[in-house]
Amino acid sequence: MQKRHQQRFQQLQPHLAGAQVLAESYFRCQQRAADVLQDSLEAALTTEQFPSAEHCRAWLFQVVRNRCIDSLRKQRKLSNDDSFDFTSATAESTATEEGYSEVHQALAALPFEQRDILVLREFSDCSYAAIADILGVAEGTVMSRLHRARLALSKELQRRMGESQ
Amino acid sequence: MSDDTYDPNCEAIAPLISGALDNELTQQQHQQLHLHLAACAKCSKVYQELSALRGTLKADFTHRQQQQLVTESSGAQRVNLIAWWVLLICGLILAVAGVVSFWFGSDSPVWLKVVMSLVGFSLLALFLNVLKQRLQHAKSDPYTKVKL
Ligand SMILES: [Zn+2]
Repeated sequence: MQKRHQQRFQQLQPHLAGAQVLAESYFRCQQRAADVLQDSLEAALTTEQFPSAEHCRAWLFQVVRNRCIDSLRKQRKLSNDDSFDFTSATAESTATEEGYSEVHQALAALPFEQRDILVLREFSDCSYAAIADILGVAEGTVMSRLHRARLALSKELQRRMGESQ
Repeated sequence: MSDDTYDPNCEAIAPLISGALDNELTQQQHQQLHLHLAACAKCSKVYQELSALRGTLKADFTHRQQQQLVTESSGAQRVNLIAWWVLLICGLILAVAGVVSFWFGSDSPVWLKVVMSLVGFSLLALFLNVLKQRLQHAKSDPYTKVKL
């Protein structure tokens, strides 16, 4: 049992830094991201359906993403406010902290759906088929959604560059 | 063709730009896109912009991931450093106490005390010399930052 944990941890270990960055792109709060990552890791070490080595990274990222969304949903329920939109609720001031790049801040300002699909594609390296699977949409819509998200990011980035000048 | 002409094709073709960036186009879609880009300055510009944006975003993710690795390993390094300092200070205290009690507390003849002290100093000098070399090496070693 202990040995199985150790083996799994060794497989997951190279992807943990990436998973932390992934979680941070949903919360933009390092502590909260670290907590969710910790939960995900515990679940990953004990689950019955552990993937083969080559699917490890994608699988871990999906576990982390699911847990992030669960956590955001819970936050919405707790706040007990219908107007509370979990998709944009995380766009708090932390993103404007020093040390965050322009593109990071622009990404943080996008609505959840757009940020999510961009992270899945550019960071988690998911194929269109995988994204369609994860989001539960038809493969044909992935391309147009991604394109809209990219245009939105480009616009947001240009807006910020214009402001800072 | 000027930027202002509205081409109804653009709207249908535009998502293919993202598809091309992601290597997800069929042969046919590829051709369709390239024919359009050759004729449409507006979409060509979008293609350039999104291609650059994609590079920026990827670089940002990579950068943040590396930062994350550095934060993780610097935590572990700090613990190591503290442990080494504690060991060093304890070692020094023991050494000083040993020397003092040997010189003033023991009944050994003076010549033995002198010889033992010389042996001790030589060993210390050797040790410090090796340490100095190691430190110089570590400072000029380009591989110290590489995480294995
Ligand atoms: Zn066009």
